[in-house]
Amino acid sequence: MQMHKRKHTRTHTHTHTPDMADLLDKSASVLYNKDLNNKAHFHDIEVFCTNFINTIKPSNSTIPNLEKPFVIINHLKLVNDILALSSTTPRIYQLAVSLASHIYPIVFDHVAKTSDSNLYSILQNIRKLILTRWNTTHPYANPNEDLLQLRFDNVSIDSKLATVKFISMLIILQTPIDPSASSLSSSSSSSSSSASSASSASSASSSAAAAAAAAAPAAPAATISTLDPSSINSISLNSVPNNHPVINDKPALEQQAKKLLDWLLNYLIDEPMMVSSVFIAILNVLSFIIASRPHTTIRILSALLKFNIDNKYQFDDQSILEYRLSKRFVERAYKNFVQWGVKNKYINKNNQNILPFYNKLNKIAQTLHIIGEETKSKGILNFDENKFNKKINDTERMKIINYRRSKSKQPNLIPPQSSSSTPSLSPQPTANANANANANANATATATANATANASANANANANTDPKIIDLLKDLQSYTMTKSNINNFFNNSPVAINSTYSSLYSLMNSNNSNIDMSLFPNDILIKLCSDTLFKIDTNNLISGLSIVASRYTALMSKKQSQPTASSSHSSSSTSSSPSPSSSSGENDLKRPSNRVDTKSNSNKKLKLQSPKKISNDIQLKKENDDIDEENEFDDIYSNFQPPKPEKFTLDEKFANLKRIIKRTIELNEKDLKNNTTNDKSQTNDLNKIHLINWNSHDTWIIILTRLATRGVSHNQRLSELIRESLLTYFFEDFNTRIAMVLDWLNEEWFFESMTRSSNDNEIFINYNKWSLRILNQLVPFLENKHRRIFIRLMSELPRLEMEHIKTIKSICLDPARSNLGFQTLKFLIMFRPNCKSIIQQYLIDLKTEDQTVLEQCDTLLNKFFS
Amino acid sequence: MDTLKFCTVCASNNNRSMEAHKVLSEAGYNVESYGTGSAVRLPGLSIDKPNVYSFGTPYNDIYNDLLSQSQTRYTSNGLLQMLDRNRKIKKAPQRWQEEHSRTFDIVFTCEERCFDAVCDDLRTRNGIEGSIVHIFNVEIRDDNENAKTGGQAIRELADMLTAHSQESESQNKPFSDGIPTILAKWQEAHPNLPCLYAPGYY
Repeated sequence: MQMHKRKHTRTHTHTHTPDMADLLDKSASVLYNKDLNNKAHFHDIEVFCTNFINTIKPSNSTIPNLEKPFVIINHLKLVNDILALSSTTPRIYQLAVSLASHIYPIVFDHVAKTSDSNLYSILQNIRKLILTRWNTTHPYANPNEDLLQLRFDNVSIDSKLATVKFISMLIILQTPIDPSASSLSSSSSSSSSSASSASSASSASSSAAAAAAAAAPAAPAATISTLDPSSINSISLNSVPNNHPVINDKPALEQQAKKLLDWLLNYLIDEPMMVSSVFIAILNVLSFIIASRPHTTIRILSALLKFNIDNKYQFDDQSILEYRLSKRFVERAYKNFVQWGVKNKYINKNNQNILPFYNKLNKIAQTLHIIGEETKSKGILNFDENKFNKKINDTERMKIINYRRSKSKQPNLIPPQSSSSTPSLSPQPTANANANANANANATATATANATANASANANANANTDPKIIDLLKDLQSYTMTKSNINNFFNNSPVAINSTYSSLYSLMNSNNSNIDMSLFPNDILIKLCSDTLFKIDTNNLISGLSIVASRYTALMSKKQSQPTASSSHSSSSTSSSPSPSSSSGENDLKRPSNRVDTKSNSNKKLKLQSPKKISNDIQLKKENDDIDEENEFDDIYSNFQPPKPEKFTLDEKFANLKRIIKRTIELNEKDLKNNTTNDKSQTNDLNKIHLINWNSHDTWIIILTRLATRGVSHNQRLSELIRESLLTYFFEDFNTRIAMVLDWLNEEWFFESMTRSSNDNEIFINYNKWSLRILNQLVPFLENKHRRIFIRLMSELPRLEMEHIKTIKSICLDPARSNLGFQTLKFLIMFRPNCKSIIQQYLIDLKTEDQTVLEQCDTLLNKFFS
Repeated sequence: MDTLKFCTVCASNNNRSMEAHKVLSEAGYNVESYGTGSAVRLPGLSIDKPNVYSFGTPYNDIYNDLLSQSQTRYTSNGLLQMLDRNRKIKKAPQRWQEEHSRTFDIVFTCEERCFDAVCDDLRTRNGIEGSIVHIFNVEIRDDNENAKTGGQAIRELADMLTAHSQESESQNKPFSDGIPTILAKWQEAHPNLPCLYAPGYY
């Protein structure tokens, strides 16, 4: 019947009958009313899918675009049946999902026009079939194996690649072209099932996102009447009226698009293993999403910054070379993604909302470029195996697998089918996305708790004595124990380790709970709290608060059971310093105990006093008005010794030096006035180090090079950091920075020649290392137009050895650039006579090695050395 | 995936991609070749005057043009022999970015710049067709000798991928799962040809 319908349509439109469509009909007819699970039909299914794709692809002009939707609709049910096969081959599944990616938006558009509810239900079923298998090993299935093991993350990559594309298509389709036309009200987001890192980042900057959307180039609007499959990405929810009789779940679809984008972004962030192909595929589809829906840019970029390639583990059966190559491929894809974004102005530095991402991503891309070039120049197999060994340890592995196991037991919810006010999306079958979602649930729960901590402090203090509240809290405590999802929190202990606010409220790793939220301005706190409350999953919020409640209960029960002990302890507190746990008592907070702290110079302890302790302290101060205030302070300050500064750790030094380098380099851009002083007396020690003639364009390089060669030369790591920064700065624009690099290398040479003993020939270690590195990295980029700067560089380098000359070899052998190489050599022969003998030897070696440059070598040898 | 459809890509679709095209087609593969540059650039009589042609200019015309400029010079640097080879393989150099009607299973690029250009172009196409393509880069220096070495290395990789494809099909295994292992094995055999890989979407 369906076949008849299509033929009728063709007759009706009076177009030619294309052979390709007949071929498709033929391959489909073989499959109708057949048992598709029978392996004998697998080849026919593959032929059908291939024919289908070839028939409807935009480049196939044998069928008019207007007719393609009818061809698709005729075979839609068959596609659904193929996708529903429980036993299939990877090739068939990949083809079917790829096919679904292509036909889905066309059929969706058709449903929008015709309100065909049957078609829409098939579409929904296709969507459900594919999405529920995301991040599984389908169609690979072996009941005897534990598919949650990490090694299966690298299985069924073809299916994953096709599914990634399908998900991106859904995101584009279900995200409005114009964000202002979104059918989602702010309240609808309160039903979000998980708060991902990406969405939390975006929610914090939702206004920025809106601004970015306004500034971003708008994608073309879809027109229902003239659908062109080549502009499939322009089909969107915008083309569906709000009161559409069939597609009546627009807000749910829009919400689902956000969740699906989270799936992709969370995969990048949370997948523990190096699944390079899927990472690259996601980076590819993210560019499609940004290009079609520019208002998603900020959300995507903020997640991209959290994608840490270095943290991904090597598979057990993967060789180190395989892992290293995979990492290299992902790094290249990341760099290409950023460059594509910058080139097409999606990552636009002129947009204030994008600027921070531009700066960071550009820097990452540059670093990745340098790493890639270095790997290439050193040789792809030339690496230290121990350095690149990134096997996952057993503890981490078990932790992830156990987590996946616990999550796989949860019911697998399906995406919204029809109009529903609270859309829910299936949690990922494996732990990846859930881990992130829960981590963020933790983060948001803790952030909320911390933000409200100060406000609730007094209320909680008053609640201490109310037995009804104690009973209520006890009920909450037992409720907490019955909840299974308290495992979602890193720190789900129902008992606080001490009576500080952080231990009471912290649901995260304690290292992450040291942030003092009270330092944030009120408006940010309010925004953070309101956004969090809108986004957070209700169950997670209740669980989090229940854990906090149970800790309160435990603390108060403890306090009520030990009133005497506490007071007796406080009576003796003048003789010894208080333990941290004693701060829960009131009397132990009296000034004598503080004085003991002060006398022992533990300034740090004063700073780290809990907010509760401080507020109690203030309260006590009011109560003890009869104490002689003046004498008290005299007592404290007469013995006060300022604390000795703590020595920086190496990491702190490293971080500070990074800031110093950044600021010093920035001096170059600032037009500071010449700070010339007339007092050039060298008698004053200070003047010896004072930069008498300040020039912001030159002085910064003196500071940095001297810092590298002398200031921090005792520490290799620090001095190398400066040198790396100088190198990066140089390669950002080597055309205009030759003078800078010459200054640097002259300084390296000068310092090493000053410290060199007379018989020490191997002393130019740093100079040789960095000058050769610069030349090796520079040479691949040189073209003939760089003749002037390259000759200047070579002629002004303070010391040239054979190794330096050898770096020109690739230029000399390159037919397109050989003139540049030989002109440089000629110049060096003429103007650096001390290099003549080296160059002579080099030319002899070169012509022996490669006959193609015999003529040029002989010309120079005959002219200058005969 | 009955027989893999291959494509070779370099900057000007003259030296490296055409050498690989020749080697692969002689080995019986279904192959086409393209260039990613803005124009076909060949060395000229002086360094600052390269010969520039638009894509689509027949190899035969380029051959005759160079012949008229200096037969001795272009014979000594191998350009005429290269163009003679090319005109026997296909009519004219083709530009990758202008060819949207053909799709391939495997694309071999011969330079990182070309690899980036292919990936960038696929991004620009927005994945409308949705089919998957595997892009491999084999870094080959742009001269006669290296083009020959690179062409052979590409054929070896094509052999490995084809064998893997047939094995995947016969054993119902996903094709992409084995690509990293194949590449590592190939890279070990060719340490001087640093490779890159990316799956992409048409």
